This record gives sequence, structure tokens and C-alpha cells, in this order.
Amino acid sequence: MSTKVVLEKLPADPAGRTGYQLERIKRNRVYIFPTIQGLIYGLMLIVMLLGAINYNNSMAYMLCFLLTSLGLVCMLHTYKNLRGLIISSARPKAVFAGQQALFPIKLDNRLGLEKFSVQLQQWESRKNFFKKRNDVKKVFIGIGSGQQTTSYYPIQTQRRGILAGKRLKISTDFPLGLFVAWSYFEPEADCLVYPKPQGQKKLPSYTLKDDDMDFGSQTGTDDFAGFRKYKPGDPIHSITWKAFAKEQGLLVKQFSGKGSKTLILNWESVSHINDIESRLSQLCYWVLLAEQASLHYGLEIPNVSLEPGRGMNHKELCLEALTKYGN
Amino acid sequence: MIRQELTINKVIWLSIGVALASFPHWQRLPIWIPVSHIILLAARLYIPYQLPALWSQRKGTINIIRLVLMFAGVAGVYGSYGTLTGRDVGIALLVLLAGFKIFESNSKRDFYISTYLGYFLIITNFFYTQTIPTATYMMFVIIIMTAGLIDFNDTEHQLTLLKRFKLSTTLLIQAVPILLVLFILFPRVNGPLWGMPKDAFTTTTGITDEMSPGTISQLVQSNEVAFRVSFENEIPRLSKLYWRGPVFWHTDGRKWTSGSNKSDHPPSLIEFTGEEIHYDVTMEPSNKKWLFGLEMVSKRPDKTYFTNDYQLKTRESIVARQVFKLSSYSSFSINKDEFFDLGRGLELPESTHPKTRELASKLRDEFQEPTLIVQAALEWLKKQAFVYTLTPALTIGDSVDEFLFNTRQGFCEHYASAFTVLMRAAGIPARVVAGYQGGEVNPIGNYLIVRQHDAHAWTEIWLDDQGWVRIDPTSIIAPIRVNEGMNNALPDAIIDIPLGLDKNATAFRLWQRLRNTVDMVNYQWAQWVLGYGPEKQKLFLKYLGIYVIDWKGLTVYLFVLLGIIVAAIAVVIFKKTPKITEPARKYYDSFCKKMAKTGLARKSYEGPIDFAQRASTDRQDLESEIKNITNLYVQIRYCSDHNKLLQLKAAIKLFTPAKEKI
Repeated sequence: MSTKVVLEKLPADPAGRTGYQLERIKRNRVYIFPTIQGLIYGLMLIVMLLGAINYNNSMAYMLCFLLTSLGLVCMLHTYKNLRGLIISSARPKAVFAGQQALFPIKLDNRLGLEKFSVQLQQWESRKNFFKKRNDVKKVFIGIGSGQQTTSYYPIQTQRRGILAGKRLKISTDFPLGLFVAWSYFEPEADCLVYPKPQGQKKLPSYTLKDDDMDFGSQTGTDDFAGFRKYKPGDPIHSITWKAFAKEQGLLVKQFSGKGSKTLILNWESVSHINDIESRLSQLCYWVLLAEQASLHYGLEIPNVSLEPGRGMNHKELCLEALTKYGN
Repeated sequence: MIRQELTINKVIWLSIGVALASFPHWQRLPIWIPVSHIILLAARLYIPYQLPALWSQRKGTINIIRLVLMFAGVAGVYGSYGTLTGRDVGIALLVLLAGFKIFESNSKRDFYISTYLGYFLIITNFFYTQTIPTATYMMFVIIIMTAGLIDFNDTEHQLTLLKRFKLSTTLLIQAVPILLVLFILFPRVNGPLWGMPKDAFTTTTGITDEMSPGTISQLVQSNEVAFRVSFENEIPRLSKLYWRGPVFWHTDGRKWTSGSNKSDHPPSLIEFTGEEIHYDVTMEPSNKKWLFGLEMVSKRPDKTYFTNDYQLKTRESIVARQVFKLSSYSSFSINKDEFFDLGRGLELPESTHPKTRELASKLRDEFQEPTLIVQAALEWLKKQAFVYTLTPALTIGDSVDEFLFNTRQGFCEHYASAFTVLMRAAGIPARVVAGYQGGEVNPIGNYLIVRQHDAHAWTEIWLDDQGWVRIDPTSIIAPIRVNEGMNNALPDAIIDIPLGLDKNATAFRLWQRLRNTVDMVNYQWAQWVLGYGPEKQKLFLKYLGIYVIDWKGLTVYLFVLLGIIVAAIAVVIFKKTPKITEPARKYYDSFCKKMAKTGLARKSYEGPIDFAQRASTDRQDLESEIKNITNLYVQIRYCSDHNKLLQLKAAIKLFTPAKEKI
């Protein structure tokens, strides 16, 4: 689990309890500055003041000062609109290269009053500050008092690998848009970006492993051969739930049989492709096809070799191995 | 950039706010300007909001159309006013511009600029009127515009219409303490910083620089306040209150003016006797330079001067309510030993007023001595059947002769001008003085209100040894006017008493009291809010115990106090914790608080039952109570057994754990 960040405020519990577990909560500073509209507002106030002085008009003074005070109060409210938010990140769902990775950002408002129109956006380095930012996505969030919400910050993925969360700017200019208050947050979770599945649709020819003498390592679907302990990656449908209900732990039914088709996807099967990324893409595609076709498939790439198997978990293990290739 | 489309919902409050801000101007503008303003606003609300977005795709054409429209607008204003400078023109342009800007709004920037134009529209209203009703009205407009801003920034639509207005009002209320600090402490300087447009202040009713039959009786119809006076000591008798204004020397037989061939002789000598009277005069804007002081002013404030015939004038026209500190003596003599300008005091247009001249020569031949002539003339006036009336019969031909010998109905200006002519014809230097006489005492606040209907005119004659002496012929004809004030001298119809009220004494008194209270509030508003300039600021700060006089010291004060106030508001704002609306939870929290005081605080991960378990093992003396409360709470919260709420409340109220285990 990643670190929680609270904006400015150290939480105190209204009920007088010794507080929430705060060991993991880090305090972050909130910055505040006038927006462009706010600066123009200031300019307007100066013009108004000059008018008031020139015409010696008390009500003009009054209006000018009222709007000045409104601006100051607005500043406090803008700051308040971020203060006390607790932010944490969660692991995003893996995506294929080219898809949008959605980073879950948890916003917890148990400490504060309702938060309005809080914006999440990718942090821009100062160098790009004045550039027109057309591609920066903004996510607007509103959170009621005492509520929690999870918002997904989208990042377009380009290539396979592990995508680290981008530094996010969390900001708000509510209520009047004259000031913007902001803070930074770094999602600690990474997103797995699987290779983009592409290449030939045709699977390489099945290789039937006939070393049936080695009983233990062979699995088939024909004859029931007994139970063994659950290993991560085993298909869920092979778990004996009855045994689990009897509190015997997770057991997996084992079958034996020669008839099982086993496909080993290995580096040789893609040796005709030169580019490593394309190889991985091809393998990825085959993994998906094999899973779809309910085949037993294994993966053998340099440094990694996965026993044949099938099911969601197995597929994910294979895809993860492909993703992490070379890292 | 994600385009922030301005939906109609977002623009509607802005449009309403801007329309309301410009509304008071409508009556002052050529009709086509408010009409096009409203058409533009309505069009923006009516047309589908995709249209402005479409425009941005055809920028070239749209820009040309925009330019043409803008040019047409400016040309139209020029056509209506014949100029492009001045206050009224500026406002006409601003109203048009606000309409155009809202009409073409389709981005965040447009929205904000339109809002700021709206704020400017509000401020321009104050250049015409600064009354309490105007201020209140504008406050509402500001609430609406601020709600519009909130709506714009409430991207997730979390606020209902009502809540938006509530937040807007809250923001403005929280702004008030800062506003007060700024208003009181911001160093005031005397304006103007630069020239004001010529039309900055429209003509107001009041005494002008010329007088002809009818000018003053017209003023008498007006209940407008000319100025208010608060005396340091008690208010002198009404008959002594002659507020001196313009002095008229020249007549063409009908109209009186100050005349063109003024001498540049310095103000003549003046001798005072008796007791000095100190008082403040709060002038309403008159757009004139006369400061009406009590005859005769002994100490004039800065930025004023005396003309040689003792008109007290300000250097700048009085365009805003302004307070002047004055001192006067009621007994005085002017110009006793000097003879300048006496010739001007004898001029009469040739071959006019034959009958008056005849009477004058008769008087002169008979009495010789000027004092006797004056007395005889006044006697003569008294004997004839003169009528003091607001609606005299029209004089045809020679107005003075007609009045003195034929119609014999007139108002103070008739009497003053006829008497002056008579004196001049008799060889006694004379001039007409216009101003106000008397006033109305407001017992609430104890000050004097001088209204336009107290306008008056009288004569001054020059006598050997005495100098210029005031003769008020009106006081001979209608002594009640001078002794008891205008209200009693004229039929009720003139004074704005509601119909029928004059018959019921109690109701009349109540009404009078109400009127006095309202005027008092207005007076204080004028004195302390509208008249809060450098002098008032110094005075008020002294009253507060701040003796910093220069602006630097004041600025330090201002910033320190501002910091304190903002910090205090911040505490108030940030201290607000979310309200727990569920009653059971509220009660249970108070139970937890009580437990925490004994040293047993509920941990964040502990559910109520776990907590009860731990607490009752720790404090076995409280076990039954803890279990009871927890059971009730659990039943209410998790079994929806809301009937037990009162029971829970009672149990928790009775729960008073001892600090230590017994």
C-alpha cells in the first residue's frame, strides 16, 4: 500500500478518539496564488480605487473595498477547499500498450467539509509552464463531507513496460476562480503495460510433450489423478471448493492423460521476427489466443519459464513476464 | 485545453446581474442603448449555446461583424451625445459593451471579463446616487454576480441554486469585517486626481446665480434637503437663521444677476459683536460653489473664500455631500467706513418702473434721512394689502410696478426685488441677497434640516454709520414665514404630508417622527459614510484613540489590522468541522468523548462492540452502562430500530463515569 498524504491539516477526531492511524500519513503543503482572472480582478480593483479617489465617492470606495475583501475571503475558501483531503493511490489495472492507463487516486474527505471541483492534472515542469498545454487532462472531482471517492487519472501509454505514476498536481480554484490552491501528489503504484497484442493469428504448432513418465509435472484433463496443494497460477475452476469448505485448505484436482494439448510459446517460435518488441507483441497475442482457445500453454523466454497452465491468473503471469522482459 | 463551454445555465446569472447593475442607468440613457443591451443579453440566453462555439470556427468573418457592430455602437453613441467624452457617454458605452461582451461570450475569459464589466456598471451607479436604497440594491446585485461566479466554478454541480446564493452571501458577510477595516483605515486623500468630466454632476435644484420672479417660489415646491446643520450649542431662534448665498447687484427690470462689472476690491471690513456660534454645515451636492453660512460667517473653512460682498464660496463646486466647519456671529456690521461699489447699488435700468420711482421720490422728498425713508417704505408695504403667496397673479409689463401697485401678490423674491428697486430709486444703495431662511429642527439627532423650500431672498441696504444692513421685506408682510418657518407660512399642500394625516394629531405626530428618524439615518449616513473624507477620518481615528496622522503610519495600522482580521476569519472558516447529521451518531460521539475523558479512547479501527468489550474489561464498574448504551446504539444504527433513540439519548445523558476506577 502506498503512503497516504494529507493536505496541510493534521487530523483531529471530533469525537476525541486518539486519532486515526496516522503513522502512514504524510503531510503535504498547499500552495496558493492568484489565477490570471484573479490578477485581472486585482487590476480592476486598482482602477476602481483610482476612480473612487478621483470622484471622492464613498460608495465607490465601499464597493472597491468590498470586492477586495471578497477576494481575500475567497482566498481562504480556496485554501479550505483542499485542506484536510487525504490522498492515496492504488495499483492501476494493467493495460496493453496504446491503451489508457487509469491510475486510481483515492480522495478521502473524512476530515473536512464538502470539497468542490477539485482538479487532478499531471504536473508540468516549470520549463513548460508557459507552453500551451493542449494534451494535459484535467479530472474534476467533487467530494461530500466525510465521503471517499476514487478517481481515475488517465495516462496514455505508448510502449510496453512498467509505467510509473506521474507526479500529479491536485488543485482547485473554487469558489470564485480568483485564486488557485494546489499541492503535489506522487502515486506510488506502477502500472503494468502489456505489449500490444499483434502479429500472426496462427498459433505455432502444438507440441505434445510425451515425457509422461514424469507424472508430477504432467497435467491433463482426462483422468482424475488426485489432489495437490494450490499454487498461484492454477486455474480457479480446478480448485476443489468442497475441500476448502471442509477447511482442508486450497486443493487442486489433478488429472492425468496423454490427450492434453500443450503449447509452449518460446523464443524460437518468434525467431523469425527481428525486433524484440514485435516478438513480445506476437507472444502476447498468442497468449491471449491460447487462453481463448482453452489450451494449456507455457511460456519460455530468456530468464523466465512458466509451466504450462491456463486460466486468468496464468494468463496474467505470462503477460507480466512478457512485460517485464529485459527489466 | 479542454474548452470550457459556457452553457446558458452558466451565463444566466451573469446576464441577470449585469442587467440589474445597468438597470438604474436605463432612464438616463437614450432609449436605444438599454434596448440593445437587453436584446443582446436575451439573444445570448435564447440562442443555442453551440452558436458561440461555431463562431470560433469562423473567426475571420465574425471578427469583421464584431468590428462593424462595435463601430455602429460607438457611432450611435456619438450620434446621441455629439461627443465621445464625459461621464454619461462613458456609461452609455459601458452598457453597450457589457451587452456585446455577454453576447459573444463563449470562454472562461469572456465570462470573467463580462463579470468585471458588471462590477464596473455597479460602481458607475454611485456617481449618480449614493443613497441607502441604492447601496442595498447594489448589494443584491453583487450577491447575484458572485453566485454566478460560484456557479461557473462549481464544475461538478454540487450546489443547488439556493446553496449557491447562500455561499455567495456567506462570502460577502465574511468580507464585511475586512471591508470595515479598509474603509476606516485606508488613507484618504482629497480628490480629484485628475480632471473630472464636465458632466460629472448633473444639475440639481437649488439657488442659482440669477433670480427672477418665480425662481424661488419654484424651489419652494421641492422638499429636497439643501443642507443640514448641527450646532455645537443650542440651535438659535429660527428668525435669526439667514443662510447667505448669492448676492445680486444687477437688474434688467425683471431678472437679477450678480452683474458683470464687479470690482476687485478686497472683502470689506466686518465687525462682530455678541456671541460666536459654532456649527457644521453638511452640504448636499449642489454643483454650485456657494457655501451657505449663517449671517455673518466669522471663520471660514479651508478651500473657501469670501467675495467682497461676503458670499462664501468654495473653490470647487460642491459635487458630493461635504461637511464644513463654520463659525458665525449674528450681530455684525459690514463696510461701515468704505464706500466702494456703492454706485453699483444704485443702478436701475433706464426708463423702467415709473410708478416705483414716483413713490421713491415722494418718500425721499418727505423724509430726507435714509433711515426714515426705509422705515416709511416698510410702513407703506405694511399698510397696503399685500398677500404672501406661492402662486401670485401673473405680472404683465413692468413686473415691479405691476407687483407694487396692482397685483400685490408675491413671494419673497417679489418683495426683495421690489423693495431693492424702491430703495435704489430713493437713492439708497441696495442689493438683493438670496439664500435660505430658517430650517426644520430634527429633534431626533438634534440638528437642523434646511430644505429647498426654505429658499429665501431679502434686501441689503447701505446706510451711513451702519454699513450694509439686512432688510427683509417679507418679514413685514408675513412675519410668520420668518418666525415660524416655511411650513407654517404656507398651506399644507406644499409640504408633503400624506392626505388626511393633518386631521389626526396622533397620526400626524407619528408620521413626523418617522420622517425625522428617516432623515436622521440619512443624515448620519451622509455625515459618516458618504462624507468620510480625510477630515472625518482624522476625527474618527482620534475618537478611536489612534493619533497617527500621516498616511504612512495609517498604512502600517491598516496592514497590521488587516492581518489580524484575515487571520481571525481564517480561524472561523477553518474551524468548521463537518456536521454529523445523524442523531444516533451524535449521541454516541458524546458518549465516546465522555469515555475518552476517563482515559479510555475509542481507536479508529474499533467498532462499537469491540470498544465496549475493551472498555468494560478495563472499567468493570461501568460495564452495565457501557453495554446498555452500546446495545442501544447498535440496534439503532445497524437494525434501524429508531424508536430507541430517546432511550439512547437519556442513557448517555445519565452516563457520568468517574475519572478513576473506584
